[in-house]
Amino acid sequence: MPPRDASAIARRCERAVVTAYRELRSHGVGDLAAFNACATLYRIHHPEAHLGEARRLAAEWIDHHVIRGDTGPTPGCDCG
Amino acid sequence: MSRSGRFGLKSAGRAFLPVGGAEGAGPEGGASVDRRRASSPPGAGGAATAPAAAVPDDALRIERLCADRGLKMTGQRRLIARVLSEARDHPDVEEVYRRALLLDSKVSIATVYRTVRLFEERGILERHDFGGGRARYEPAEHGHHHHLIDVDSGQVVEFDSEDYERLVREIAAGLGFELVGHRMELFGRRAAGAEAATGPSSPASGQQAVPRSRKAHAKDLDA
Repeated sequence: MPPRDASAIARRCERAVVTAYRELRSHGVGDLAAFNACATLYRIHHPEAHLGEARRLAAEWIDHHVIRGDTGPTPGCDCG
Repeated sequence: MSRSGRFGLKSAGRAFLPVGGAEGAGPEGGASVDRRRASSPPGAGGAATAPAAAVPDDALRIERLCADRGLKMTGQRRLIARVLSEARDHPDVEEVYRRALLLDSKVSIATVYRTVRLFEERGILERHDFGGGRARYEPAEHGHHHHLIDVDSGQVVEFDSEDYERLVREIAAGLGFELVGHRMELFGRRAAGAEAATGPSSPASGQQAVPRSRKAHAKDLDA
């Protein structure tokens, strides 16, 4: 997957999730393990979030930014 | 229900067994085994053998539903739709991912999550919570039925019951409502000495169980 600049992503949690996924994958971590780590990371930003919600948003963002390489807006929380 | 029995086992052999896999279990426990092919093949009674040549039409069922709903089908969506169409159990997202990986090593868990959710939002898949912290999925157009989950093995038995349907309608009517929907999930432990239901049997006194497979139901839908 091509490295991309995540700094344009407005949400801090989304930025962290996308960056962490790329970093973990580049260090040889498997897809599933990296994804689960990112869902956990999201919950560090949003401890109130249910794990299912964390997985949903992590999947949304990773698929959008990393897998498909899209740059448009994504659904998610309101945090800055 | 087309059979004489008041209970019908839709597919006695369809088993969900929690899976363990490729990259290890998820954080909350997906210790499980892939038993996709261990369950009964499509066909009345679950006793017939499904030849490989019979698979393709079934394998396109969800893809056709996607097309009916105007969903754009990318290669990965098509792949995930095929995995879900071929499933004879109630896989969770990680199990769908593992099966998809066998067909395309480049598929991502994020894409699988997102696609399964999209299918659910469009009414193509139905989500179930059988415990264990993970949602399980099956095609939504699978006919009205209920599930019994074996708490020891994780096996899921699909069944329907005219008695139960009548009872819930009566309860709703007694409360002044017209029933528009309901869902029942039973959690049980197999009674000592009882054997797995693989055909007509007597799950309750005087009530006959009738196997009914997904393929048989698909024929009903197509008719």
